[in-house]
Amino acid sequence: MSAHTHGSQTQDIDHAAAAWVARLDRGALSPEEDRAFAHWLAADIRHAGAYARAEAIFAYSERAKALGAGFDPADFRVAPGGAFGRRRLFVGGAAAAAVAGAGLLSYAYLLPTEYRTTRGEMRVIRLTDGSVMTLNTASIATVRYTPLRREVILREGEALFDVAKDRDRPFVVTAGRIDVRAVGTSFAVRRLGAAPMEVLVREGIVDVQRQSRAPTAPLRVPAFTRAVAVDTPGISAEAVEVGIDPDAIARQLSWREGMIAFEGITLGEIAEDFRRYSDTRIIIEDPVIAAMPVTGRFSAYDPQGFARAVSVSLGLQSGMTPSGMVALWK
Amino acid sequence: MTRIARERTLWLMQNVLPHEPALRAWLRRKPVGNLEVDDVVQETYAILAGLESVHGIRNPKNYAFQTAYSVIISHLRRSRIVAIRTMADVDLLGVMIDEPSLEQQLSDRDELRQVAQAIAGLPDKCREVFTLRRVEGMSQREIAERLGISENTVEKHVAKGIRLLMRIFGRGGKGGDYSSKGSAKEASEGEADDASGKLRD
Repeated sequence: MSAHTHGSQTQDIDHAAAAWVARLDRGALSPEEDRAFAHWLAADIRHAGAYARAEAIFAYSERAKALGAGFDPADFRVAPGGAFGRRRLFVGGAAAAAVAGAGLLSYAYLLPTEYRTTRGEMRVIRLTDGSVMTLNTASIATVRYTPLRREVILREGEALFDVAKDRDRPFVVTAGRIDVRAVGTSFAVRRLGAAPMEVLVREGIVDVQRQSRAPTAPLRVPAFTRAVAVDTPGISAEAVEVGIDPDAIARQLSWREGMIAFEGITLGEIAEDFRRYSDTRIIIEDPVIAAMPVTGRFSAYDPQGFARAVSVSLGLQSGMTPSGMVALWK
Repeated sequence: MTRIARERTLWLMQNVLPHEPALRAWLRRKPVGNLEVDDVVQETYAILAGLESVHGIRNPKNYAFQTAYSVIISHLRRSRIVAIRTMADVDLLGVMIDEPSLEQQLSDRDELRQVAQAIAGLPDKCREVFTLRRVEGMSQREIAERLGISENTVEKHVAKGIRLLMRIFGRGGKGGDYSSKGSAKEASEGEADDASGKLRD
């Protein structure tokens, strides 16, 4: 940072930083590119700064996802004089999704639905019975509901299940050849590559059982327990660790931080969910607003950003209360 | 430093980016020697990106301003010509920053609209690519397939989009806070941003 006489220097650095962020967004770097990138970063501290800033700005543009598929740039082009062109702010992918969802509801019992997350992504999925599945990064789960059973096959990754009570329809998560059966509870299942399947029970009781023609008695796993199930004949489950303290469970589930996506979850529930991530609470006094369903992807650390995005899409007002909470109102 | 962690990127996005216009305005009000505002801002980002942890930072705005201040001080020390006058100026920089006012908070609530406007203002092809990437969440490869163009071309459009957003955000997306050393080209684009939301490139 010696000679700053050229006004175009900043532009050149920004230019290079934007090019690297776009390149990284495209996919993994080749070894040569990786060296070139490291070399460029190390050449001048301003390079590293411009790069960090470019990443932050690119991440910021991700908020555009909340605009939904109906986004028409023409709606947002600013007319001379500063007024909006057509001013038709979208009313949310949520409404469209709700309509589509109603039509599909009857098929939901028959057709398995696959949910996936990419690396670094997390999704909160409201299932048709009111249970909520939270998928961690790089996970795949198939959900199939029948009148007799609620089935989830965790193909890869990790998921937390908050199961709605339904005594007549057990909720069964299958990972490999291990079944985890619950009636109404909260538990996480982890299936990472060839590692033994892990169950962590946060609330209630689940039964863990290896699939077999001659089934052995299920292993009953109570709350605050971690069970590691090894898929070998003759052993249904082993290495049960009981009495895990709630803090440890919370830590194990800390992957739920970061970006979260909601599908058809009501604002009231989301406000509750945000409480887990931030001291800044979202206050919704109007029950009509609290019942509005929202679909979108947001930073779990940013309740204000969430409230702003939602207020624009649902035609609400948002702001800070004197006590530092985020409020949403009509 | 290699690739910045996603977590840190999000922290910068949420805690520093929103205060960048104020930081720039503050730096411009107190010019120090021939230090450029852009340089100080970039170096500040580099330091914040390189911190081992940001968990202890209670007031990120304050922290960002203090970091910028330390950048100035270290440059003055290195330059060895620390005129008394300059040091007095820098001392004025030391007064610390208050919390964002309620008004600022409220005026920020159109962020989504701001993003939408910024994307809408991108040049045609660039806007199409950026919308597919950011609104629809398609990968660069998928965009290339959809539009029947090469991945290289998609990457270039994404880069251009990022570059244009870098000019808008943090530097006066709300107008009047443009870089102090903008070239004629940049200045004219700044006016274009404010007047019509459109960008030329």
